[in-house]
Amino acid sequence: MEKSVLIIEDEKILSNTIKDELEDEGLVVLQAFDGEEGLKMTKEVKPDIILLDIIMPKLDGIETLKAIKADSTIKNIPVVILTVHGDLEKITNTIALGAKAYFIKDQQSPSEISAAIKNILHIS
Amino acid sequence: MKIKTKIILPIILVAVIVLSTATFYSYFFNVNTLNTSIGEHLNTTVSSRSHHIDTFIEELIGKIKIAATQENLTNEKLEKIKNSNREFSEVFLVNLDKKIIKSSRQESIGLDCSINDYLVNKKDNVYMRDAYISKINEEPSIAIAISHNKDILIIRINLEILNDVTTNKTGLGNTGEVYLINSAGYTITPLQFSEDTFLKTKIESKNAKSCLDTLKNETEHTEYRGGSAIYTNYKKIEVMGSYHPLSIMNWCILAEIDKSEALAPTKNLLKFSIIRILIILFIFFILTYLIARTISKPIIILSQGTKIIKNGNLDHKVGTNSKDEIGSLSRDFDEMTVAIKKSQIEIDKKVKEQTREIIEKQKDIENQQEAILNVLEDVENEKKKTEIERDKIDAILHSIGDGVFVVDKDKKITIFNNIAEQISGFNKEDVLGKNYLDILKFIHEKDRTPNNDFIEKAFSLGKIQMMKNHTLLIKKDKSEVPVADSSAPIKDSAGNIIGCIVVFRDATAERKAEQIKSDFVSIASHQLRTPLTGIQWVTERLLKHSTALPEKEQQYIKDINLSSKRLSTLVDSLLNVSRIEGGKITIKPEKIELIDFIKSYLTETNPLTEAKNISLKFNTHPENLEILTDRSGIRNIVQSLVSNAIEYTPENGNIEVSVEDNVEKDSFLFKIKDTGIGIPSKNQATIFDKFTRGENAQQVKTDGTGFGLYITKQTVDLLGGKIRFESIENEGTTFFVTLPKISKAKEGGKSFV
Repeated sequence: MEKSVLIIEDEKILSNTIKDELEDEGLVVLQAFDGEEGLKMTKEVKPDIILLDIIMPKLDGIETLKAIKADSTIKNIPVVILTVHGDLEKITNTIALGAKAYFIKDQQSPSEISAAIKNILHIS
Repeated sequence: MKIKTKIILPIILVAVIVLSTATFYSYFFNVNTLNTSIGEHLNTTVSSRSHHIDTFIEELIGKIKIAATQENLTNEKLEKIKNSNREFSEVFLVNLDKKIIKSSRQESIGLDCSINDYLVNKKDNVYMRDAYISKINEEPSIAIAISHNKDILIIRINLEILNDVTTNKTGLGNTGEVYLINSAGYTITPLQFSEDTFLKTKIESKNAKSCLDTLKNETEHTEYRGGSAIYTNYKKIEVMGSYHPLSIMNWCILAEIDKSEALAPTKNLLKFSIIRILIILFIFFILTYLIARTISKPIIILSQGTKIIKNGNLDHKVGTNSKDEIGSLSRDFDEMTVAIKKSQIEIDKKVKEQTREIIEKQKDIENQQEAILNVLEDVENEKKKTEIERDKIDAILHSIGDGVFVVDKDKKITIFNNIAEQISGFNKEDVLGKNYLDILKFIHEKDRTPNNDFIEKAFSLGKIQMMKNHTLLIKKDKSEVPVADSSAPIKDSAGNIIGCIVVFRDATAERKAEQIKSDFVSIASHQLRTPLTGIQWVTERLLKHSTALPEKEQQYIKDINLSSKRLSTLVDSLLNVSRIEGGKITIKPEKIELIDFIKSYLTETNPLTEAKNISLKFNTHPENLEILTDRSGIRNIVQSLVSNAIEYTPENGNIEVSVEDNVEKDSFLFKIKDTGIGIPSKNQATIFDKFTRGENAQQVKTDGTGFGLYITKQTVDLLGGKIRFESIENEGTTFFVTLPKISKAKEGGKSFV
């Protein structure tokens, strides 16, 4: 069965690029463009993995992560943080909040990110 | 007190004490002697008279014994016995039926006789009846009884016979008397001052009781020493008296003299003694008065003389002509007066001379005073000038746009300008003359500990000190204001530090600007990164699917990708510089295995070294080295130095990386040696400065920012380490970085990127 990925990212270019990359790898990709929408979709769809940006309108990534981890129906879905370089404290803090891993967008290429996600989902 | 009095008084006083003591002592001695002699006299009297009476009674006993020896006592014989003894009143025989059977008195024969009254007080076979009144002739009597065959022979004796013994008043004066009392204490001889007393008056005086007690208590009292005493007798008056017990009859003889009569001579003695004292004292007084007068008279004359001389008559002569010490004194005095007169004349002369000198000197002083006043005027002018200068300095200080205060060497504030008042909220009156430490509290912004070092160091080091960043000043209203500036020691001409001037300014606006700058850099870098990431990702996707594109277009896409990566690095550098300069870097030490850490980074550089055919060796000795430091910090250092080495080493070059453990200093050395272009010697001093690059570097690599080594140096500093290098142009460079194995944590900002 095909694994599903939910990308919660407000930057459409980035979201689309990573979507293309993941779809190339045979994953089903869903997109949300702010935290609220992402949380809603997570509850509805229950994806196999979530890619979560930090700086977003409405509900930022940190709050979204907290909300996911506070909801017992979705808290087991692995969340991977996707962010730009700049605030290491904030990024490392997400691990403590329950994030599975983090990617610094401007230091990692889409192919590296998709490889790591596949690794987490145990897809070779 | 006058001399006369001084002489007379003590002598008289001593005389009075001595005389009184002697007189009273002799008086009491005499009284005592008199007492003793009267007592002895009374003792002798009672003793002799008791002896007399005892003898009389013993004779009576002797007589009755003789009478009892006769047989066939007839009435006649009894009468004969009676008549042969004047003191016998009646002699009679009583039978066992208590009837008088025979008697010297016819009328008594046949009468009943209460024989038991007679058979008492048996001594030496003889019964003796105590004094009683005879029923027959009512005369005071005693009776002696003795057994005669079967009858009792009784002789009654008229007791009045003893009156002769007691009424003899020889040596007893007017009030003296002697009397007898029986064993019951009743008088049995007449009393001088009381009539009809026989067996009627009971004597209860002290001596009577003592005597009767003696009789009761002693069976043998042959050798009794009588005692005299003073007591109250039956007349209720004080008497001197003696007693003596009469053992045969159990009587007592008492002799008494009124005390007033007995001691009458002593009264006269007292009177005489007092008169004698007064006479002696009077004579004494006259004598001492005369002596005192003789002594004091020349002294009075001397005293009057001195008064006259004191009043100014130095020509007066005291002139007492006595030859004693006072006379000599008065003559010396006269001589002295003459001498004084002489010296007075001398003194008058000297005083006149000196007065003249003083007047001269006074004139001199007046001249000098005038001169001093002139000088003072000059000084005053100078002072005014100085004040004008000071006012100028004050005006300058107060016009300066920064807060200025000056402390003297005791740390007391001496100048405090208007801006300082505005910034601190304190008035000049609040601070001037006070220790600045008590008023102006400078604290570190972060930990709020006192931050006065910049002033104290200006004092101790004598050099200008910059205030540390992030200093707060606590204002008068307890609010806080960020301040910045510096302090400088004030030195006198000899170079001694005599104070310190502190210039400070309100740094609120600067801090705000810094914050804005920092925020701007943060936001801008994020905003820049996002589109850069977009470019990178899209170009990467393009390259992946660009096999259809011509080679040139593919190269374009690669260039776009590379440029955006460079831009990304530049953003990182800017952010780091901004954080370093804002003091907003966090050092968060964590456990790092250094050898693996370096190895993994070096692996990342493999594509680059391979491209230039550079040999990169890592001397992995020691095998493991665990350190506690900031991960981003150490990564920046290693990354920057390694990438520089690769960058500036030509193809086929060598790079050696090594780590040395310094156990002693708990530090380690990171060394990187390349065979690169080197740093020109003229650039070596400034190579760690911002925007500085080696001149030759420009030729190799045009896109350098000049941030790299600056950030590296700052990072090493922040981790508590040191960096240095050795370099020869065109031969190569070696960087030595010494870092502590354990870095100190630092809060209050963000990590390196």
